[in-house]
Amino acid sequence: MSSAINLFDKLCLVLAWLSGLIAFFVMAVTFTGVVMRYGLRSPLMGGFEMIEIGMGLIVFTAVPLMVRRRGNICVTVLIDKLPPSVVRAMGLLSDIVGAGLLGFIAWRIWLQGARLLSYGEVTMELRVPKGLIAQGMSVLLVVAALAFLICAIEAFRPDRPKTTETAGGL
Amino acid sequence: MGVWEVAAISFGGVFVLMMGGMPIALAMLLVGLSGIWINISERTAMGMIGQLPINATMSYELSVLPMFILMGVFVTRARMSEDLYRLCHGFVGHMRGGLAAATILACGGFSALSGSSLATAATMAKVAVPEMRRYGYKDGFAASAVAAGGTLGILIPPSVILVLYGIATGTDIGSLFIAGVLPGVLAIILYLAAIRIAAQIDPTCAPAAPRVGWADRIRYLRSVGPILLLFIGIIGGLYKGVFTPTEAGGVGATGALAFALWRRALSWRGLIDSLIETVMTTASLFMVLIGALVFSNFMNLIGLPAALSDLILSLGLGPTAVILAILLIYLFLGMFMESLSMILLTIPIFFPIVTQLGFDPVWFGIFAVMVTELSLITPPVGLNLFVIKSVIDDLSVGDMYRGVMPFVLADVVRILIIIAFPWVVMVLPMMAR
Repeated sequence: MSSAINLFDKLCLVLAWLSGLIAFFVMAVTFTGVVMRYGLRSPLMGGFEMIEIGMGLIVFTAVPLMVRRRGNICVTVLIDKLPPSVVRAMGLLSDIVGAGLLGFIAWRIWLQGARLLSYGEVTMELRVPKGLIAQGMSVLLVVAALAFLICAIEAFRPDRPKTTETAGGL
Repeated sequence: MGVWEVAAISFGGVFVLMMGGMPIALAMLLVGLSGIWINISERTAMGMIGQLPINATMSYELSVLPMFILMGVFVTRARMSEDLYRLCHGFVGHMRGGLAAATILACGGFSALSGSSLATAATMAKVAVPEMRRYGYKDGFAASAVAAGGTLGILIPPSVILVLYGIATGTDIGSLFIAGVLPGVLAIILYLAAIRIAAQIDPTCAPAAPRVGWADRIRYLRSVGPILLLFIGIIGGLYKGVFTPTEAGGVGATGALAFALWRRALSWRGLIDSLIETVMTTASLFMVLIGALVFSNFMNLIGLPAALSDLILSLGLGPTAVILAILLIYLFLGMFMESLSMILLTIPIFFPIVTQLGFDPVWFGIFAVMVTELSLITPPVGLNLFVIKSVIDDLSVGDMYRGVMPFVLADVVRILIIIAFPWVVMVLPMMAR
C-alpha cells in the first residue's frame, strides 16, 4: 500500500513540475508577445490562445500535488479549540467530500468534452480541439480526486501528514 | 422555503463547514452545487458544473494571477526584503520611531512586487522585527508595525484580491490596480503619522537608531534600484495603456527573474522550487474561485441580490448608511474569516446593491480590500498578527494587541476618508481612462 502511495505521490510531483513548466512557458509567451508587438510591430500568432490553454493546464496539473500537500486554503481559527476527534472526523469528511466532488466534476467535464468533440469545436487560431482540452482536464481531476481519497486513507494512519496552515493564504 | 431561509441555511452551512476545518473551496462547492440541485434543478446543476471549471480556468485575464505570484516569489528569493529594509532604515531610521517607519516603507515597497498580505508580513517580519528589537523597540509595537505594513500587500498593486474581485464582478483589473496606488500612499502616510504620535506619547516604545551616512544610502539605493524601476515600469505601463494587466504580469515576472539571476540568487533548484510554489498557490486560489463562482451562481439563481435590494429600498436606507452597514458586517466577519473567502463570499451579494446605489465598482473594490485589510490586524483574529507570531516565536499576543491599536485607528481614519472623499480612489483611474 505504502509503495503505491509513494508512486502516486511521484506522479503528482511530475504533474506539478509540468505545471511549473507551463507557467514558465506562459510567462515567456506573454513577454515575447509584448516585445513582438512593440519591437517588431507584429503580434505573436496564437499567443492569446496559448496563454488560455496554458492557464487551464497550469491549474489542473497542479491540483493533485496541492491536495496531497494539504495546500487547500482553510480557516484554522477554531481548529485548535476543537477536540482532536472532531478535527480528525472533519478532516476525513473533507477528504471524502473532496474526492466525491472532484470525481463528479471530472465526469461532467468529460461529458462536456465529448459534446465539444462531437460538434468539432476547435480554437480560433491554433485549431486545437476544445473537447480534447476539456477531457484532459477531466483526467487530471480524476487524479486529484484520487489524491483526496489517498489523504482519507492516510487519515487512519498514525504518521499522517499535517495541514499546511498558510498555503495559498493572502 | 423563501429566499431568506434558503440563503440563511446556505451561508450557515458554508460557515459551519469552514469553521470545522473543511477547505473553503469544498465547503462552497458542496453547498452551492447541492443548493442548485435541490432548489433549482438537477439539470442546471449538472450543466453548470461541466462548463464552469473550464471557463473559469481557461481565462486569458486570470493568467495575471500566476504571473504576479511568480514575480513575488522571484523577488523574495532574490532577498529583496533585506535590501529594501536597509534602504528605508538608511533614510528614516535615525528619527524617533524611524525603524517602524522604515518597516512601513519597506512593506510598501515589497507590496509593490507581491500581491499577498501574508507573504509581505511574513517576509518583512524576519528582517524588521529582530532589527527593531536590537534598538530597544517594544515587541508589541515592532510586530504590529510589520502586521500593519503587511496589509499593504493586497492594496498596493499587484494585488491577488483585486484580481479576483475584478474577475468576480467584471470590473477592469487595470483600473483596480491603478486605483489602489493613491489609497496605498495614503495608508503609508497615515501609518507613519500613527507611529509618530505613538512614539511621541511613549518615547520608550520606539527609540531612534544611529544616522546612516549618504555613501551607504546610495549603495542601498543602487541595490534595489532595478526592481523599483520594474515596478514603476509596470504601473506606468498599465496607466498609459502600454500593456494589459496580464502582459504587465508576464513582463514583471520576467523582469523579476532577470533581477534574481543578476543577483545570483536563483539556482536551477531554486527556479524549479519557485515554479512549484507558484503553481501550488495558483491551484489553491483557483479552487476557491471555482467554489465561490458556484456558490454565487446559486445565490443569484435563488434571487438573493434582488431580495436584498428590495429590503434596502423598503427600509429607506441611504447609500452612506448601506456602506457603513457593509463596513460593520465585514468587521464582524473579519473576526472569524480570512480575507479571500470573506471577499469572494460577500461580493456577489453586496456588489449588485452598491452599484445600484450609484457607487463605482472600482471604488467599492478598493473599499472592500481596505476593510479586509483592517480585519487582518483587528483582534481577536487579526491573521497578520498570527503570521508574525508564527515567524517570531517569543512575542506575546497581548503586547501585540496593544501595539496594533494606533494602526487600527489609522485604518479607520483612512476608510472614513475614502467614504467622504471617493475621488482619492477614483482620480487616477479616471485620468487613465
